[in-house]
Amino acid sequence: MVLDMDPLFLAWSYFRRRKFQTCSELCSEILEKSPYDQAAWSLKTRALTEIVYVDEVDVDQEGIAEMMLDDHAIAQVARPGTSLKLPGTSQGGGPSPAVRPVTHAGRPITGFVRPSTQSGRPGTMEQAIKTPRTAHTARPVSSASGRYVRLGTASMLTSPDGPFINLSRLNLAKYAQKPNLSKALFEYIFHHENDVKNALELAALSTEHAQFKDWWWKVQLGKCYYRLGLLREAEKQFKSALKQQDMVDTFLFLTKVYIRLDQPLAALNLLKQGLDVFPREVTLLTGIARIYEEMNNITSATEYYKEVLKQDNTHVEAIACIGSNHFYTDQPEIALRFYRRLLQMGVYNCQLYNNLGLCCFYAQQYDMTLSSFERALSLAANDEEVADVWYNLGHVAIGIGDSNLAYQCFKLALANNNDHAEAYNNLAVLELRKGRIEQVRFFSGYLYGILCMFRLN
Amino acid sequence: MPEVKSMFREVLPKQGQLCMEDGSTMVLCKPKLLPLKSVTLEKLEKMQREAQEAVRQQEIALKEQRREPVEQ
Amino acid sequence: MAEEEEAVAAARETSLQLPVSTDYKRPRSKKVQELPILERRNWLIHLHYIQKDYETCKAIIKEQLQEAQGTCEYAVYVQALIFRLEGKIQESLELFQTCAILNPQSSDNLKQVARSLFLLGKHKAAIEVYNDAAKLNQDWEICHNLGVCYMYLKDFKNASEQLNYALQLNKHDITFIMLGKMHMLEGDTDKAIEVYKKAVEFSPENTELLTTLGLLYLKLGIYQKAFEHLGNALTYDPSNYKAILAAGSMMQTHGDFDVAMTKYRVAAYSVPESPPLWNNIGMCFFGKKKYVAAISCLKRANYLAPFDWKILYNLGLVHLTMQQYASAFHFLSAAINLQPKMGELYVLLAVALTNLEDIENAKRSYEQAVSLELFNPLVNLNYAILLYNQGDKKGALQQYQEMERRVNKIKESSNNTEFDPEMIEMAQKMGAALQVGENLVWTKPAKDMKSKQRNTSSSKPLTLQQPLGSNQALGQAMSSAAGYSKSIQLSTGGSRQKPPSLPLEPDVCTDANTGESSFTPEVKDK
Repeated sequence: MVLDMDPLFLAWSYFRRRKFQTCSELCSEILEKSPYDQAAWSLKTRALTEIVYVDEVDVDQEGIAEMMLDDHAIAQVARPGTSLKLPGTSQGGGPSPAVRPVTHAGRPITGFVRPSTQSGRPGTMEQAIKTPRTAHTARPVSSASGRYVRLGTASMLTSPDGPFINLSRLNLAKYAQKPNLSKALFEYIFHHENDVKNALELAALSTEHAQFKDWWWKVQLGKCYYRLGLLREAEKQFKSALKQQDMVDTFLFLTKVYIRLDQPLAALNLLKQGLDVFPREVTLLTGIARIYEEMNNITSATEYYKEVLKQDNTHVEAIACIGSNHFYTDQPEIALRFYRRLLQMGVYNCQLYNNLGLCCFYAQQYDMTLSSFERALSLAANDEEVADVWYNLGHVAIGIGDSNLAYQCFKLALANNNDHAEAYNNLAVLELRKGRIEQVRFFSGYLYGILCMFRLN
Repeated sequence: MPEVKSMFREVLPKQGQLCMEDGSTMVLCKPKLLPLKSVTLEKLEKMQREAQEAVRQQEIALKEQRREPVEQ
Repeated sequence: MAEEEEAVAAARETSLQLPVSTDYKRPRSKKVQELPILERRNWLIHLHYIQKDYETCKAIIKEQLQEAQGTCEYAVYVQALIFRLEGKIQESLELFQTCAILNPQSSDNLKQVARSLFLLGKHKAAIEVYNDAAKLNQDWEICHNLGVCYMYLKDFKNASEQLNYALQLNKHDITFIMLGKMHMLEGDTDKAIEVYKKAVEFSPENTELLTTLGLLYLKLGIYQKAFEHLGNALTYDPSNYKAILAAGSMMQTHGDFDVAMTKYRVAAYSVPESPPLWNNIGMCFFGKKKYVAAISCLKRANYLAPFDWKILYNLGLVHLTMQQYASAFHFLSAAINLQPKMGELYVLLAVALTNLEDIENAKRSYEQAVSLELFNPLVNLNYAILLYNQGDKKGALQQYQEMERRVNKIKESSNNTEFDPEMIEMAQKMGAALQVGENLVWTKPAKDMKSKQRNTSSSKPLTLQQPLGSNQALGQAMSSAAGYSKSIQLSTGGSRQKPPSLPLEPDVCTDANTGESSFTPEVKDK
């Protein structure tokens, strides 16, 4: 009685229930029986894509090679406030590193990380290569060799009976003629196979077939160009797509192009234009806030994050960023409220409990402090997170005037992450207070080494 | 019979500790709020972990396949 | 360590002047016609060096040295200078030594060798080389640096000899400063003051000298002179951070919170992350009974300097005043962990414990306070209050009598004593309750009792945290200084009508910032 159902219909049902693996297996069965079933073929393509799908808007990591061989840069030294590459050029109320820690790139640490938040450029190629490839600083060497390794993980795996689609034997021109197949195929090539060259070819053929009237293909072309680092070509495609059809995604992609060209002001303008078309659109508002934050203009960033919260009061990124801004402007009590809100929303991880612990301590809610940190330690997913929690516990120990405990905490931070520069620094300070010059030299020597490795990266 | 009729309150100093001079000291790195991860980032990391695990499994399987003929 | 760093920093300051003065003499001293081939690019090296284009400079030096097989003195010299700028002191030393071998008659080369040794902390070796250099050509720089070297070796006799000799050759402010510092290291404040007085005579507009002299007077309790010099420093540089901090704390002690705040606001603009500044601003708010703002400022100060027990003391005090005893306990116990020898901290801790109803520990804390703080009668009064409230009349009486003894001792040593009226009132009540009320020790009411206590505690060294002397003396100092420098708005009436707003803290000081937000101090005519 189960078998009565049409297998393709069942596969569709699995797809809609987001059981992509099952869906794909079922499609394979269908295809074994009738290899030319276009519906099953297309569905399988889509299922495989969905498994590895991540929002392309949210993904952006520059490889070192792109960074160093950047021929888009016009001026070596940008004017203050017009570039994201100059750390410390605060425009309007940015915090100083004496109050708020900064990333290795010299930007204020943010409340939220995305795959693209690791931006920031090393000063020289040499520095970039010296930078250790640990999990928290990993920057692939170039886009061609590894930038999208993370994205195309699915293509790294060899499946037992060969790939589902053998791209080299595919007649792309033929598929470009069939719009109902070509779009799914494109996404499969782009997201699953991570083969930008073939994806580009298909997109080019398809847009031609659509007589350059389909904005969707233009956006896809733009995405391909963007990934290949052909930013001006990408810009052209996105702009042309926007002329045909206003889409939020297109605005966001074009923004990414401007960010990569290090033209944050152009990006801001564009997003604000987007807001004219799509008033109060959350992703556009978030985009503006992110740029302001990266430009160290915390005041404006907070303004826009607040605007985001007016539209969507469960926006994790906005809550986290506003919370961290309050913490670093002497308002831990208010920061605490924001982080509590995240807890209510069901966020449950090491980072959140760590932040709750810090806020509680600095807001003088001592009863909650240690239990929060305990929870943070138990939820830590890796050694780096454990190290960060111990590092912050060291500050709590300093806050209660217990230097020995602080010493142990910072030591534990180092035990879990040997690269924890802040912990070395604070240990050196503690040693200096005890008057143990030799140890200070030891720790500051380490610190110097780490700083050399991390400089600007 | 020590019967307390009235409770007295302590007198607090009216002036705290003022600083007249600023000596240079070593500065601590400040406490670090940890950034929360975006959904995309978490998915990426999960996919990467899974893929690495799968690659490892495949390699182990491959090795065992190679070894078997030798043993025979 | 800190001293060494200071020395290095000081040495860098002077060393930066050196290369310029010596460099351009060198290429010029050679006559153009006689230029040997291996010296022919010296001008180019020099040009790139003074343009700070060190990479090109190094490349040319490398070429030049290859051609000359390492014998081109000027190239080696500049390379050594660049190494020093890059912090590679050892490499720099070796190259300067090479220069000294290539040209042993040059005192410049020897001076550079000595300076490198000095930067490496090898003071004895530096002295030897400086002495060699002096044989070739005695000058101010050599004497000054010799003095500094002797100073770090704690050979104060030779140090003062060399520094004074340097002053005879040439009066440089830096030499005065070093000599003054040396006398302070010796522990001879009077001599230090003499030196700074001479220095101020010589350069009356040097704000660093003026501020240092003012601070020295402040430490000795000579308030009028202190304020005069600090005021002078502020005349020449109204945003001088050190002078503002010192002068502001004097005004604050005198109760002029608004004027002090106006000054602090100027300083907060240029030094926004100074813990002492935020501490004092916080205590200004405390004095004005704006407790929330006070806590906010103090917490910022504490965040910036978590090891400073004074800030923790103040946080404890403010929280006690606001009757937030758990928080007060937290801050005070942290302060005691960092500074276990301060009796008054134990008094405050005892008050917190009393209100948290831990009487046994409160008593213990008072015992500790009584044994550590031997002059302040408030310790005994508060202890007496606790004992009395607990029904221990006998113990209370004992503490009460000890308090009386301390008050009498203070009064004996000085006539115009001012005690906290609240304390007098409470002591009178206690006296009545303990039936010793007739024996009142104080005759006239006054405001500030702690200020008095400092003068008597001569056994304690005069440290910074101690409050200033009697209000009269300070008041006189202020008015005379105010008259002296009209341009710096010391007039106490000036900004009173409008309380100054607190920079960066708009949220907390609710009534302090009504509309006024600029950082520029007002100039008001009386």
